[in-house]
Amino acid sequence: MAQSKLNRAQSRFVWMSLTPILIYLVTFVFYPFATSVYYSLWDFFWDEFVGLANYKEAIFEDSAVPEALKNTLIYAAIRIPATIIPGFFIALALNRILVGRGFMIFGFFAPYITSMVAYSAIFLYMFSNLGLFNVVLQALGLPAQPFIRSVDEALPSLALMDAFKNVGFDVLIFMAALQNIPRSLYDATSIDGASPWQTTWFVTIPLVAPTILFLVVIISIWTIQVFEPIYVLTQGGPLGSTRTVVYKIWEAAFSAGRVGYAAALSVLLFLIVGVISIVQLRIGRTKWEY
Amino acid sequence: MARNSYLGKAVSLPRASKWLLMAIIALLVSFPLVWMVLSSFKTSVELSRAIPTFWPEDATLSGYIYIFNEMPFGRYFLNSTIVAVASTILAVFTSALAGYIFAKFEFRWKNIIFIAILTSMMMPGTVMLIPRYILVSWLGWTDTYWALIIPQGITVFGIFMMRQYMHGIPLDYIDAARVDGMGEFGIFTQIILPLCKPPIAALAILSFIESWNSLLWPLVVTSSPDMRTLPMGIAGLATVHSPLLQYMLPAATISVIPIIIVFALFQRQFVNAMTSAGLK
Repeated sequence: MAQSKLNRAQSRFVWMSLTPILIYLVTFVFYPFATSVYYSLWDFFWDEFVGLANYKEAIFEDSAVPEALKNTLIYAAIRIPATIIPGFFIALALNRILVGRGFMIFGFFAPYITSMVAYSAIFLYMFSNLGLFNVVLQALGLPAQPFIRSVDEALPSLALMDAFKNVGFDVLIFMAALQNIPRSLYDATSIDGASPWQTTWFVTIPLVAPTILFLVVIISIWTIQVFEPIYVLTQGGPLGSTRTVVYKIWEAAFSAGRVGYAAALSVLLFLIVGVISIVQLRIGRTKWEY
Repeated sequence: MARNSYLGKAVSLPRASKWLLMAIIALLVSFPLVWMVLSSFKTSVELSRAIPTFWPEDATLSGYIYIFNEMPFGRYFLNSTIVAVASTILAVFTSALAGYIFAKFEFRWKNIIFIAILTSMMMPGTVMLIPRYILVSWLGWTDTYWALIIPQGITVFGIFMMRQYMHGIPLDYIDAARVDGMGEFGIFTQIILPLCKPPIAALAILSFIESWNSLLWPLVVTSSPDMRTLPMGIAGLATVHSPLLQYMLPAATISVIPIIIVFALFQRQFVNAMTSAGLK
């Protein structure tokens, strides 16, 4: 409920507070967004208006762009299920645990709040030739793997590291969703003689479907912008196999000095994220009933 | 009775094993962080050994001493702290004030302005990277604290979150203060802000963590070692072929430990804050 009629003092307060905030917002949020399209039509090096040339190059000529898009999508395709599926089962088990639950949540969530850069440092150690992962593989009688030094393994290695770090987020979102499921539904299924697996598959999973969709969307938006693990661990290599869209934008602007081209790539990234956001809005509007 | 206790055992056995399994998984997930801290006390010789050690064999502080004495990690830590604290205070203040105005006042163009704010909430940060960089360069802010703090001091998500919470505050409180002759700004700072501790805590945690952990933006707007932040310092030690692990791990540890300690103290608030980020 809001105040309907403002007196002089109130309207002075509203406008005197709101004006600086709006100027702030316009300068650092609206203006940058509006200008990103404008900048994408320029070549900053020659200071020349080039029209759609940057877009033409990005879409049709620069083979690194579809490559980066492909890498990003593969990364997302691994990263998204790699936290949602274990996250669901961990939450399911954790919700029934009473003793030591706080400690377990601490263990799952601590990596999520630490910086990807710091987290990558220890994985740099574990991924090395003589690192922990290879020691474990060899102890199991399996051949050693190159991990982040191989064209085939680098991208999945990074995506799985990302998943391992951030699974705690999915666990907590699922725990909250599971707590909202009415107890009576479970009682009904147990009276009907359903096995725990049947209950999970036919009752629980359909009930948390909105949460699953929510996580898919939100994690898609995050992973499409992945940059940090790549910058720290592989710098886009080997042979461009981990060059993602945002890494490509960073390279274009700050290694190649092509700011206008990078702006065009950002606009294309926005379109991709925009499509996902629209999907998110539609999901948000759907009425889910238990 | 005997039958019942037998049943009880049959049920509790898988429960115990499930508990053990979850405990093991939780330990496994937190293992990299634990090992990072332990390995930060190892020498470079021990770090490159064929069979990695869990506990440091001859624990040394040489990595820590090196990064603080021979490298400007003290400065990086200070920079990270200044930037995270300042941008958090700014973000909480602007969000609370704007949230209050949108929740409790009716004024012209209110809905249009608010819809514009909501629409921009869907904007991914990286889309604004290039134009913000150009803006900051044009303002002459590159390589200054301004560039690191000011763009992070306003958050559309924060405004939205504050407005949602403030909707629930009864107007009577505000009216009573007005009858008492309190000024409008005084009502905001003395009545409204104290009532909004939960969303303020959540937003403060979110903003602080986001700023403390961020790499891309500081990378873009700073160039001199004096202005670098901790993640930049750590990332600078990583190269594919010869990462300087004996310095990277201590550096990563000093960047993680303060956050983990605060998290341990305020676990509930952290969990609430960081999961609300999902709405972002």
